[in-house]
Amino acid sequence: MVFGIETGFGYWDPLIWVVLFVLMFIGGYLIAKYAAQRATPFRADELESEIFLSGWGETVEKDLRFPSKHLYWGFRKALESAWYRSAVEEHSGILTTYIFWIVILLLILMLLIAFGGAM
Amino acid sequence: MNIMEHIAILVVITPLFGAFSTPFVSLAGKKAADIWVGIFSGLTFVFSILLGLKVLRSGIVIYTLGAPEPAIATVDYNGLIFPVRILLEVDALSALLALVISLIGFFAAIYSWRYMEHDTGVEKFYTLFLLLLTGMLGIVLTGDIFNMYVFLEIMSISAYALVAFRKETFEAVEAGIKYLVVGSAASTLILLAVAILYGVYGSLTIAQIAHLIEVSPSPLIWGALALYLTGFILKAGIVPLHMWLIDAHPAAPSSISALLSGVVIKTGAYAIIRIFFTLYGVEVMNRALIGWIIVVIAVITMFVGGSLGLIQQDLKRLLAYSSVAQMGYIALGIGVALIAFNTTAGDAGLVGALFHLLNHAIMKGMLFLIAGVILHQLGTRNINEMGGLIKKMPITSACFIIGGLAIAGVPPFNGFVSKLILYEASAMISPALAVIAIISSALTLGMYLRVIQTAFLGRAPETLKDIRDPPASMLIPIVILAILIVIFGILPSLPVDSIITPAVEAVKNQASYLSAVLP
Repeated sequence: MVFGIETGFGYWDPLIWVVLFVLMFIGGYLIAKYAAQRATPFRADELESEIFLSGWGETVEKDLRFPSKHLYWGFRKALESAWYRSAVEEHSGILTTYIFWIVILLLILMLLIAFGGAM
Repeated sequence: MNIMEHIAILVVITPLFGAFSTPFVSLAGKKAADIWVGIFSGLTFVFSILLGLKVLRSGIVIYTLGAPEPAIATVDYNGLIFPVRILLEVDALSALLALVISLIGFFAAIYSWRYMEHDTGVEKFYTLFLLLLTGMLGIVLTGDIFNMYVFLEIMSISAYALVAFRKETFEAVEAGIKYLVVGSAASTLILLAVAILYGVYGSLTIAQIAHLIEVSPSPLIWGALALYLTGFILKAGIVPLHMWLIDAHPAAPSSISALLSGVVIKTGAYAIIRIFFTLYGVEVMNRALIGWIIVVIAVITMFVGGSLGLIQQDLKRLLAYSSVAQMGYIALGIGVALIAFNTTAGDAGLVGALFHLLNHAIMKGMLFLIAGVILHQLGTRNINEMGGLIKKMPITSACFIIGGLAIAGVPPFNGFVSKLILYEASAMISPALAVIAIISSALTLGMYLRVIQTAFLGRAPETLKDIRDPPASMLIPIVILAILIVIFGILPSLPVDSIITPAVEAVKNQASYLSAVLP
């Protein structure tokens, strides 16, 4: 059974990764198990179970959910004016936009290929 | 009757017969229709395997309809020998695509049993489903440009109707109409290209036209190439003609989304490869110019798909953008293969493109099936309304995590191997291309990590109490596809040596495709 493969200019052997993955899983499991034995038990009925958010007591659990749209907020904000604003506007769902792009691409390809396609 | 003699046509007519018989069988109830569709899609898969084995064992398979000898494509008319009948010409590339289409089709059919249980008009759904399979298989097996167009229309019209199948929702009807309008525009361009080639050369057989182009290339064929390319770029969902895909794939029932993203758009990529390398041939075209056009479009496609997928809140829409990005990788491999044809970089580009095509069909097919499970159980596609699914549906969640990491190109899964080959091939043309491809992979990883973190990990919302892994008929196809992802990642030489390399050799060897038909 051959695990590796020639990638054109190099060689990839996934077996090393698989061994590494297995070792990481075993290591992670052992650390978690060790930590569970050593950690002080969590006391749900005492003050430490209460949640505070910047000094404000937070009691409603669902309010603490973190919407996924905030996950790459910085990335999106950085590219907002340069890319995202125009890209989202372009993906408006308006059918004439779709047809517009068909015509534009056809024109470009016609110009490039019809005049330069031949050897 | 020797079944192997007629195996090529059996791959096409099996789902076709299944499609037209399903409404009659469904008179006996939904269960009968379920089993009937399962049998016919399963038979199609078995026949595709047999066809693939025959091609690998004995080379290109020719099947001429109406001929006394199906393996002989030409007729002798007063000493003039030429192909005139409708014919199927199956090389290793066609066989690979047929195998992928029938595999995903079979799993999608089994999955649909329970997924469609609450829908009405299931007999119409199954008929359209099998017609979609017929169209796709016809496109990849035919050796005739007009039949390719006919099968393209069978596939497209079935797909329009299937996208709008849940007509009680406005989204489905709107997406179906948009897909119909832009798809018809693309089909018209393709038909115009067929008309130009027929007008110039008086033949519709791919091998015959390829031979005539080689002997006397007319200036008109370049206009036809531009028309072909525009039409198939749209069918493949490549930027800037990808917008229909973002509407259509999320709106369709999930088993159809799996087919649309998994294999329907791959027929566009197949047609582009077939037209460049077989119909026109690399010897007559300005490979550098056309290759760079494809590479530039591919790079834009990867970035647009990756960056816009990153900000989506709708799971199926996110998967659709991811499909756009992955089609960029396939196009990148095709472009590199054109620029550096018959070099190590060119060969690696083709291997990478075809291996990624196979991998993406498996990965995206599975991810859309999982999206269907989530929609079926939770009733929402909004990622923000999900959470802690790994505790509620552990098997489905594990499969999604495998698929998500694989498509992002994380080792040791299959997506990593095909992307690695593409990175190396493109780096030999220009290191900047490899850098862009890696950045796009990072965007894809960000996209899937967000879904994994928000939907599968963390705490489940109060509303998600009674959810669990789906029934066996929905879960088994997902699990098998996840197993394939792992196997093809750990043992990449298994698919590459057995089916990808022969397909690459078939693409490169235009002469053998021509000589199989022409004496």
